[in-house]
Amino acid sequence: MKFAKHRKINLVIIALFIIFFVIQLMSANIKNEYSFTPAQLDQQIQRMNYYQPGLARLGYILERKKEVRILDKLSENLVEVLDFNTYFPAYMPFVLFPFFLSGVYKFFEKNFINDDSDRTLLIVVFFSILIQSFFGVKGKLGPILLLPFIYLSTGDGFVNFVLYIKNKYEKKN
Amino acid sequence: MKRKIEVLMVFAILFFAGVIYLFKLDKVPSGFYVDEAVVSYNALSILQTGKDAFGQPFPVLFRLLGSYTPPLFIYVSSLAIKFFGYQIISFRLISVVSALVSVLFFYLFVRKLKIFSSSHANLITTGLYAISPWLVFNARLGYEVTLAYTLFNLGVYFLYAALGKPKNYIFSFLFFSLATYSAHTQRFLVPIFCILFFLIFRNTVFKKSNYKYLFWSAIFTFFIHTLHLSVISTPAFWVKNQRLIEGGRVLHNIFNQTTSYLSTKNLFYELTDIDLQHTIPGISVMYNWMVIPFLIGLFLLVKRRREKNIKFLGLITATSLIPAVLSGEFISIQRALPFLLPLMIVIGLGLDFMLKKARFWGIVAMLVLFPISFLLLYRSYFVLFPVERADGWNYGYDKLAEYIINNANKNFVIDNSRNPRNYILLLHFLNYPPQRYQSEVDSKYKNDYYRSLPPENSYKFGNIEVREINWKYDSYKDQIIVGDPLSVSDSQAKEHLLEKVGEIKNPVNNPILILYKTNPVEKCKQNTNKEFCLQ
Repeated sequence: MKFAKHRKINLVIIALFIIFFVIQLMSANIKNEYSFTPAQLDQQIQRMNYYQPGLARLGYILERKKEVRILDKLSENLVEVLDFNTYFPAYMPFVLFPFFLSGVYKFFEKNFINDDSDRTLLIVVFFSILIQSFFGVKGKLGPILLLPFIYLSTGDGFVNFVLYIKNKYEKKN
Repeated sequence: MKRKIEVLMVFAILFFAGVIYLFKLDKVPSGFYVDEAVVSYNALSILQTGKDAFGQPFPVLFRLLGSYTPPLFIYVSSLAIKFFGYQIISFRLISVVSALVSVLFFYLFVRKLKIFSSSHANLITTGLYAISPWLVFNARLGYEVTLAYTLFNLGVYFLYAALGKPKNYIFSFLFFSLATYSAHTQRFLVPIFCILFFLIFRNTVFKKSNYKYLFWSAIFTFFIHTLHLSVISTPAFWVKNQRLIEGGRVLHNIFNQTTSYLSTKNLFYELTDIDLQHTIPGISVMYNWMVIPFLIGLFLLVKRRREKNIKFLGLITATSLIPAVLSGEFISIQRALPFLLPLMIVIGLGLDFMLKKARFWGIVAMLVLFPISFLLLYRSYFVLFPVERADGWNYGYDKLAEYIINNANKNFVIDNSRNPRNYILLLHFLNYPPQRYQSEVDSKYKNDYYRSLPPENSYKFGNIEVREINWKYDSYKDQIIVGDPLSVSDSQAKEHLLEKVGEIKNPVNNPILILYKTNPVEKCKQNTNKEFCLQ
C-alpha cells in the first residue's frame, strides 16, 4: 500500500489539513459569504421581471431562488480559488510565479497522472479546493487552506530550479 | 463512432448553432452599435457611389471613425445590402455565416490534430465551442471581428494540413492574407504566428519537396498584399501601433494584460472588460464549470509538449493573445478573440482526459452540463443582455431618427458629449443619402485620405448638427435639442425656457434620450444677448 509507505508523512499532512480547516472554520463568517446586499436583492427582483410572463417561473428560479444564487456564489468562489491572480501578488511576489508553475506541474505529474502514486496529497489538495470554495477567499485569513500548497509548490519549484542549475554547472565542469 | 453518424452529428451541431445565432438577430443585441453603424453606412456608400462616406473611391483602409479599418468586411457588407437590403440583419448575417464556418472548421481541425483519444471528444468539444458565450456573442455582431477570426482559423487549419500535404500552403496563405484585410488584430497576429511557425517547424517545412508550393504561396501572398503595400508608407497603415506605448509603461502593460487575459475569473466567471458593449451580464466568455477541464487541459498541454500536434496547438495558444496584450492599458475581449480557438481545444483536452478516466460519469456529466450551459446562455444573452446592455448598444437611435423624419422641417442639435460617435447612428437610421453626406463632410478629411487626422467632434448634415450643446446661443435658435438625461438639467431647461417635447426610453423604461424644443422668441425677450436673437 502506498499510503502505508508514507504513513507518517501522510498523517502529518492530514493533521495539518485538519488544523488549517479548524482555523478556517473558526475565522469564517459564512453568513456574510452567502448573504446578499440590498442592491443585489434589488437586482435579483428586477431581473426576475425581465422574463416573459410564460417564463416567470424560470425567471424566479434563475434569478431569485436561494439555492441557485448560492450555487452561483460557489462557482464564483471556485473560479477565484483556482485563479493565480488570487495568490499573486497578494500573497507572493510575481517573480516567484514561474517557480510556482513548475512546482504545481511537478506535483500533478507525480500525483495525478501516475495511477500508482500515493493519492493522499492529491486528495488533501482536492478537498482544500472544495472547502476553500465553500468559504471563499475574501475572509479574514484569505485562502488559508490553500496557501500551504501554494507556498510548498513554489518552494519545490525553486529547489528543482536550483538543482537543475547545479546539475548543469557540474556537467560543464 | 461510425462515419455517417459523426457527419450527422456535425450537421446537427451546425443546425442547432445556426438556430441560436439567428434567433431574434435583429433585436438582440438590442440597438445598433456605432461600429456596426459605421460599417453599414460606409458599405451603403460604397454600393451607391463607389466611394466611402468621406468620398474616397474604393479605399484600401477605411477611415471610418479614425481607425483605418481593413476593408474586406465592408465590401462584403455592400454585397449583403444588395442581396438582403439595408437592414441590421444583413450585416449581422455575415458574422452568423462566419461563425458557422468556424464551427465546421473547428471540428475538422480537432479531427486533423488527432489530439483527443475519441471521436466523442471531437464532437463534444465542437458542440461546446458552438454554444460557447464567446462565439455566440461574436456570431451576432455586425462588424468585422468574426469574419477575420474565421479566416485566420481557416489559415491555421490549412497550415497544419500543409505539414502533411504541402499544397495546402497555398490555401493557408490565401486565408491568412484575407484575414489581414479583415481586422487589425489579424494584421498583427498573422505575421507573428507565421514567423514562429516557420521557426518551430523549419525542419518539416523547408524540405526540397515543399519548395514548389512555398514558392507559389509566396508569389500568391505577395500578389494579394500589393494593396497593403500601396498604403504601407501612410500613417493610416500604422494607426493602431501607437497603442503599444500608450502611457509609456510598455512592460507593465504587457504584464498586466497577460495576467488579466489568463485569469480564470475573467475567462470563466466575470469579464473585466470596461467596455459594456463587449460583455454579457451574468456570464463570461466561457461557462464557469469549464474551468476544471481547462486547467487539466493546460496541464496536459505542457505534459505532451513534445508531440507535433501539441506543439502546433501550443504555438496558437501562445501567439493568439499577443495582439490583444500589446494593444493598450485595458483589456478588450474583442481583440483577444483568436484565443477562443486554442482555449476551447485546451478545454477539450481536459474533457477528453476526464471522459477517458470515467467514461460513464463523464457522459452523464455532459448530458447534464449541456442543457445547463444552454440555459445559462439563454438567461444571460437572450434575457439579461438585451435589457441591461441596451444603453451600451445605443438603443433608441432608430426612434430618434423616426422622430427626425416626422419633423423634417425642424432643425436638430444632438448632444454628443458622452457618445462622441453617435452621428453615424443617425446617418444609418435616417438612411441619409451618402452622396449628399460626401458633399457636406469637412473638406480637410477629403484631401490626403490616409493621413491619420484626429476624429471630428462636430458634424453637420441636412437639418442636423451633432456636437456638444452650446448654451451661449443654442437656446436662441428655433430648434430641437436632443441629449441624454445628463445633457440638460432641470434648472438649465428652466433657465433656457426649453419645453420637453419627447422622451425615448430604454427597455426598463428609463429615459435615454430627451428632446427639448427651444423658445427663441421668449428667450430673446428676457435676455440681453441680442446678437444671437438677430440670427
